[in-house]
Amino acid sequence: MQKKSDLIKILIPAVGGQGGGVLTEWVVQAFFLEDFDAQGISLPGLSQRGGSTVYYLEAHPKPETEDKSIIFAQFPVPGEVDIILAQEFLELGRALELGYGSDKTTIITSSHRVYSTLEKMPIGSGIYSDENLRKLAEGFSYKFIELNALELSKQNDMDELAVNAILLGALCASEAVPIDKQSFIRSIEMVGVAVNASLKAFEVGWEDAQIGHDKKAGSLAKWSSFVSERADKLEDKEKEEYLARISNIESEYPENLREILAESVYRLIDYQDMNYTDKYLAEVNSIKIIDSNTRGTNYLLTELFAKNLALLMSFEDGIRVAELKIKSDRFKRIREEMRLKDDQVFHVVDYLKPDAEEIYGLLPNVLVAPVLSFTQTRLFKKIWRRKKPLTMGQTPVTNSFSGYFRMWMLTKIKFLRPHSFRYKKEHKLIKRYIESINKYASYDYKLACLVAKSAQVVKGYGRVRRRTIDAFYRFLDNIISPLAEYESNNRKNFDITLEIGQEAYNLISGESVEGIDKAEKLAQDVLEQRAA
Amino acid sequence: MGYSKELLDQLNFGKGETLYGDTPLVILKAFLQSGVSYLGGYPGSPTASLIDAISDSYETVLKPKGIYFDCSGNEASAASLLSASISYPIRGSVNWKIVGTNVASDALSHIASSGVTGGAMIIVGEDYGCDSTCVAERALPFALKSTMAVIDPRGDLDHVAKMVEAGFELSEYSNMPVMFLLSTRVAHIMNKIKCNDNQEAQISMLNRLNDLPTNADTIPLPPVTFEHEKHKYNERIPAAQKFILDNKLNEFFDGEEKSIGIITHGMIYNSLLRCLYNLGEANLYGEARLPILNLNVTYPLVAEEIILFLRDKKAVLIVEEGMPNLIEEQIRSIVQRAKLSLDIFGKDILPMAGEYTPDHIAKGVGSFLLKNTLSNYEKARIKEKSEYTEKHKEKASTYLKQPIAKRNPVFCTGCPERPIFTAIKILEEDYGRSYYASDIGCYSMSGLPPFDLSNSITGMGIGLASAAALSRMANKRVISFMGDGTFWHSGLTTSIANAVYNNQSAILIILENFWTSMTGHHENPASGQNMRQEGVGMDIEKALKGTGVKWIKAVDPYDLTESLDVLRQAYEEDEGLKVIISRGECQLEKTRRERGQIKEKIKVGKRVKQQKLGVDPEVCTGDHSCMRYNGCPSLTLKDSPTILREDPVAHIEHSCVGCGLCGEIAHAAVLCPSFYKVEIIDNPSIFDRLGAKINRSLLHMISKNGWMG
Repeated sequence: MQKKSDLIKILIPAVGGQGGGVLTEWVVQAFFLEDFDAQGISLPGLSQRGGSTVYYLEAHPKPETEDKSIIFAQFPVPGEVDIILAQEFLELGRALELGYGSDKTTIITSSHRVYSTLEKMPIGSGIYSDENLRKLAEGFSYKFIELNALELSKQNDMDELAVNAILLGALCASEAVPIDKQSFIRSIEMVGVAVNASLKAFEVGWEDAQIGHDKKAGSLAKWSSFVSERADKLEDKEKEEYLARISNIESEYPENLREILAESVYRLIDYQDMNYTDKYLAEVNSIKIIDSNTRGTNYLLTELFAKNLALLMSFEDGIRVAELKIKSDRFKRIREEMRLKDDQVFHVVDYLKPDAEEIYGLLPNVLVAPVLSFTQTRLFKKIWRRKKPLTMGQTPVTNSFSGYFRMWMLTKIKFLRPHSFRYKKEHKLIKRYIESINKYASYDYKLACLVAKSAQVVKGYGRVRRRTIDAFYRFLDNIISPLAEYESNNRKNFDITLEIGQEAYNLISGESVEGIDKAEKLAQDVLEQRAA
Repeated sequence: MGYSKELLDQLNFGKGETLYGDTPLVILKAFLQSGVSYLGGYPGSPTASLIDAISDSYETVLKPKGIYFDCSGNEASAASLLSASISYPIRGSVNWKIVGTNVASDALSHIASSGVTGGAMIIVGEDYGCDSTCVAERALPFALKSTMAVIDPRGDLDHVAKMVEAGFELSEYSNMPVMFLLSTRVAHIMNKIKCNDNQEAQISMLNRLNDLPTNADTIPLPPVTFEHEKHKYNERIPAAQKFILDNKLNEFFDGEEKSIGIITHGMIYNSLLRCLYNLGEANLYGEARLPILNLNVTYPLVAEEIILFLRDKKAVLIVEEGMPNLIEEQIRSIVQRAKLSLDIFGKDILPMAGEYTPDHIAKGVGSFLLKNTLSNYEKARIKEKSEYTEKHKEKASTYLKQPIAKRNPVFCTGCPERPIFTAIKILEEDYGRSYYASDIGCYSMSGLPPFDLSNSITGMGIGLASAAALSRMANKRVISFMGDGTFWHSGLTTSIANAVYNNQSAILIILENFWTSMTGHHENPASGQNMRQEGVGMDIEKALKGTGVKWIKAVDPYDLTESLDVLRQAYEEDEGLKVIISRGECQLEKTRRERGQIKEKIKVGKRVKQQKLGVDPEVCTGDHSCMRYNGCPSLTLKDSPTILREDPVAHIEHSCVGCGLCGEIAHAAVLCPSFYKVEIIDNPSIFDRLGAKINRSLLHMISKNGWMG
């Protein structure tokens, strides 16, 4: 029996509720118009609820004789699919992982991502890497066409569902199916869902597939605009000094650190003032020396340190938040994001709820410290029975005078910041961070890098931030330090510290900071095993 | 999502015309071609769209023909509808998903015992692949125990229509109700069919019965009951077998390799054929090298037919999806009685459980061919081809070290059910985990990330009852969830009446969203109208009071503070049943209805205030706590605006419907100041404009380098 045939099998992986059913129907109708026999299958389940879903269709030229008819299958077969038309990038990956792609498959996919809940949840980044998806697509296709349909729909201010018609256009342009452009257009009209919008989107997809894509602009132009972008946001005096620092950076630092430093310096001037910024640069410089004395490091340690020190030194306190909330370009951004028209009036209502520490943290340390130590006494706990933490919830309309004014006032006490309780607390952490890196750099370069990087876990506000800070201290005290000491005394290298340290870091930046408990346990076990 | 007028108009097509549509529409057309008088059912995938087709066409097509449509309260009420066909020549059909058969079985047993005069057909959504069903089970065993014929059609819409029509005749000829299995994939085919003329129902809402003579022999009361049992096996089954044989309902496809053959059933035939095609054993037109007997009627089996097929064979393969494999077992006993000597292969070489997809059965079919093929050349070819798919799958699944991230279904943007689970999640910080007895509905997803609030799912309307023993025997709070659809389906009696009667200490949260959304938005008694679009509003609170529930509180789900407060009260109360009704319309349905109205208002220049939520990317530090309390599709991630942060920050898509939950969470859980709400006013009033103007000028004075808001 002959195997060769004109049976066309198309798989459409999609995210539920994104209009994959209509996309399938367009293709089925188009095949009918080309005088094919066709069968579409829309898969059910929890599809309308954002889960992953697939649609499948088969088509075959009408048999010559009436008495014969094609026996269609309702299931795609791994390795036997001719075209994969993917509505979303991760879902393409899923289809390929299940084996639906092969060296005879043409892949047409949108490269945009709709992140799954599990990708969103981790404290760090749980996003699945596009590189992996591309690797898979190249490994299991005869032809691989990608376009960012969501981006295209935004550029042409269409809604998310336009993605489907854009993909249909790309399918048409790819000439992977024996369907004439007119038939596609006709089928959109026949199916009758958002006809005009869909026809427009179809053309967008068709043209995009014709042109292909161009890459980013030259790096030199990029750098100068990177600097001016930031400089222009500063006032003249600061701007001058900023540009002075930039020229130092250009002369003293390798190219791959420039942007990070330019960003950091801008951030800290904006955050506090010039001499605060110079403190920062001094610290970075001292670490840079370590790098310049070690060969082939590509200044990784300095990079990690520069990034994280800048973040730690610009800890988000009430003043910082107030400042960010009333930055004038904020409202410009909101206008654009919300696609506001000039004849619309809009109010920006902010959800602010600082907890006790975030409030008294702004006060001078000299006042707070004694009171705070009193709250730790048994006596206080007797009088103060309240369990729920104190908070101050408010929802100001920030683009109204009253709301704006409150924020503005707060920004005016910036000069007090260096004396505040919170400042002392955060700088204790910073001091510890810097010491640790210097110390471990003397042990092992990789180890120093790990510690430098691990400050990324310090983030969030109020309770959340206190937990992450606590986790970070415990990471240094109960994991890195004991392991490193052990290895420096008993072994030649720091493999164990690096391995366990990395694992611990993954644990804290994973599901939740409570991962630190697991991490500590892990470190203990290793040490006990070693001891035994 | 509803059937357009154009699609429904096709239901009046006559002989020779071509209808395009999905399976439910085709089945409805076949009903009309069979002259049905009444229809009913309870929505559930994969039969849900059949109810859509029926209710969408009720006013324009069914009602004018006098066809009654019953919006059944649950599967038991749907099944009992069939009793109209017991004594009178009335054709009717009801439908539900496979698990609904459990709910319906009491009524089914009685009707099947009495037997039917008019054709009675049950469309059962067979979902052995569990695309949308919690348990894997098949309808066949029900049919066997209650003696109903079972039709299982091939995956071909013309054939489906033909089998529906044949089904009614079979039912009348054999006096048995007929089960018509609509498997998930068959239920979702889109294709064309050739139509026949519609038949007018002899008895209908237009020409009613004047008197209702009833034959005592049809009433299942001893001693008649035993007569029914005899009648089933002595008359009904033989009659059915004769009808099946005479009308060739099962299909025999001949092949040159006469010494072996395959017996299969329903849509598995399509998968088998594709499998044989890939092995090079068949072409696309169903012409295979070896003969195939396809059972479109899987009960009763016809011994003569089976024997005729097997007589001259030395080996046969039975490709039967699902357990218990009753077809295979019956065939084995037929062969044994007929003293045929041939090898029978089945579940011994094919996968025991799981959906029978072409690749799933390839290896088994291959090894059957190998056992019974002589030439070595053939052997080599078959071996290579039958193992190809498996090897390819293996290669693909191991190609990357890191497996593709899972994507579980989530509550829709702005869903009114989400906030309650957020509240419970927040309270876990102070009160610890409770025992969460979940139920069947959208809220079953509370068991999935980010909430993970589910210790058990026991069935429809059963959640609270399932925790009865535990609420007395565990030192944990028992919390159960129930939707309004589920409440009226059976929850009121099975769970609530039972809880009050036993003075069960538990918290029941009723999520009243006025729609049965899980199945694709069907009206339910809470909707204010039934599926015939007739106004009926049934009041959950009154019903609860009626059963004697003392502690009842209603909350607005979007007011998180209120929900938290009421939940705390319930947590503190220790004795008795506490019911919290969280009342908010299904957001999908709401937006669908209102989107147009709002556009219209704006067009005619009315003042319209809408809101959307946003996140300040510079303020967000990317700790993603908000995600772990929420799981809203519109609340997602994007790169941080500063290159200093490696991790992405929160971001709200333009698809936000402005329910405000994420802001409420930031407040209630004291997370961060990143969230903001934007109130957008179209066609602002003179005051709006004035206020905005004043603000702008004042702000211009104090703001740095000019005001750009």
